[in-house]
Amino acid sequence: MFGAGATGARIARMLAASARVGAVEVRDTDETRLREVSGSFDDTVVVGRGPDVPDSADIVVVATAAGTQAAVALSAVRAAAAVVTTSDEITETRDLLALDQQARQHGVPLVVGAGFMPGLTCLLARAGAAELDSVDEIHVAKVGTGGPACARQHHRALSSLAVDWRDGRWTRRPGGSGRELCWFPDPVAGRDCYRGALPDALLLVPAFPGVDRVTARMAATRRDRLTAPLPMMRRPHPEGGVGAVRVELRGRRASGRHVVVLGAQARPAEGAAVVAASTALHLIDHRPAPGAAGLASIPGPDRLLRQVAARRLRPCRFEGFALSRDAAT
Amino acid sequence: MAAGFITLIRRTFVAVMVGMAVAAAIRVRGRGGVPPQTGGWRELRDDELEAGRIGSDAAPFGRGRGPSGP
Repeated sequence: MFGAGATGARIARMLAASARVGAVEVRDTDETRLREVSGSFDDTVVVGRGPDVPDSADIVVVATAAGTQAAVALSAVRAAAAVVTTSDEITETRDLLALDQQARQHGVPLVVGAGFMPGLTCLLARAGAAELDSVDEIHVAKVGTGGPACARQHHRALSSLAVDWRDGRWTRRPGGSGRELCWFPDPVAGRDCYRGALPDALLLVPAFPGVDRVTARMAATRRDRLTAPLPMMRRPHPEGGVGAVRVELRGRRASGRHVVVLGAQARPAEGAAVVAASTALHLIDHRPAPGAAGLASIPGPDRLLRQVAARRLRPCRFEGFALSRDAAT
Repeated sequence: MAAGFITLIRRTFVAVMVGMAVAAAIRVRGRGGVPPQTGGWRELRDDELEAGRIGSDAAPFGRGRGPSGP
């Protein structure tokens, strides 16, 4: 387990609590942070040091700050360990997906972006797609941040170029543009969401061949947008408040067009930890074919989603209503 | 000067009165309908998370079937 932040410490505790895990070793470059959280671990968790992955490791979960995960993942792949990463940064997601060939050579799966978003959103997209005959559009959005590293990445993402999939090709749009009012599960409700440097399209497009549009947005306030190009004015909070994700799929079923909206609400660090830990345990039972991909491509998404739900991260469905008597009939 | 000020006051008063009359008419005669009484978010039930509903036949793991990033 690399990273002992708000997400990493939770993942370590969840893995240690599982009967299927023999031992968990936690590492972090911040020794002070590691000492702080080590008191919350039980006896099955040991504290390790250094960036090298031992050959004895079966699964490596990486929950370090965005931008530092690819190097750890590469070490883990070379050590022939299955890897679960949680990065939500575009360049790093691309780098992790580029490790596909090496993962195949070493015969290990490398899960890219197993967090709240991306991660749970990929699973929800897979779940929603099962209700449609064909998927034309996927739009994901999120509210909230986890620990300080997540807050910094959120801040950077709002001022960086977004990557969308539109009409069969990639398009770049400015971060902070494309305002859309998105409704999330209660108590978050409606939030204005904007484009940002989010990697979801990179993970969803390969998993849904033929999809026309894939976009990702993040909630932001006027102050967030105003200060996005500037350095962060103050240190981020140790952990953000309640957050949420939503996935909207548009496609065809039978003879008509249909929209499926799924979502979930949780503290983002908690949600990411549940997804990452569940994915690691899922890999123990259902080892997928070697390669690098996101959770939308993982075998047995139903079983993984049930594990996630069992850890109190319950997916929700938005059920609309008829706007007119004609539509109701 | 004084006549112009009185005209301004009178026109402002007329504008406010007209606005109030229109608002009252909309309020009394408008048909806003009943706000939605159904719908909204609900948690997925266990049976909705079963394999038959979600499908366990995800695309093969790893890349190669879809386009790579920009």
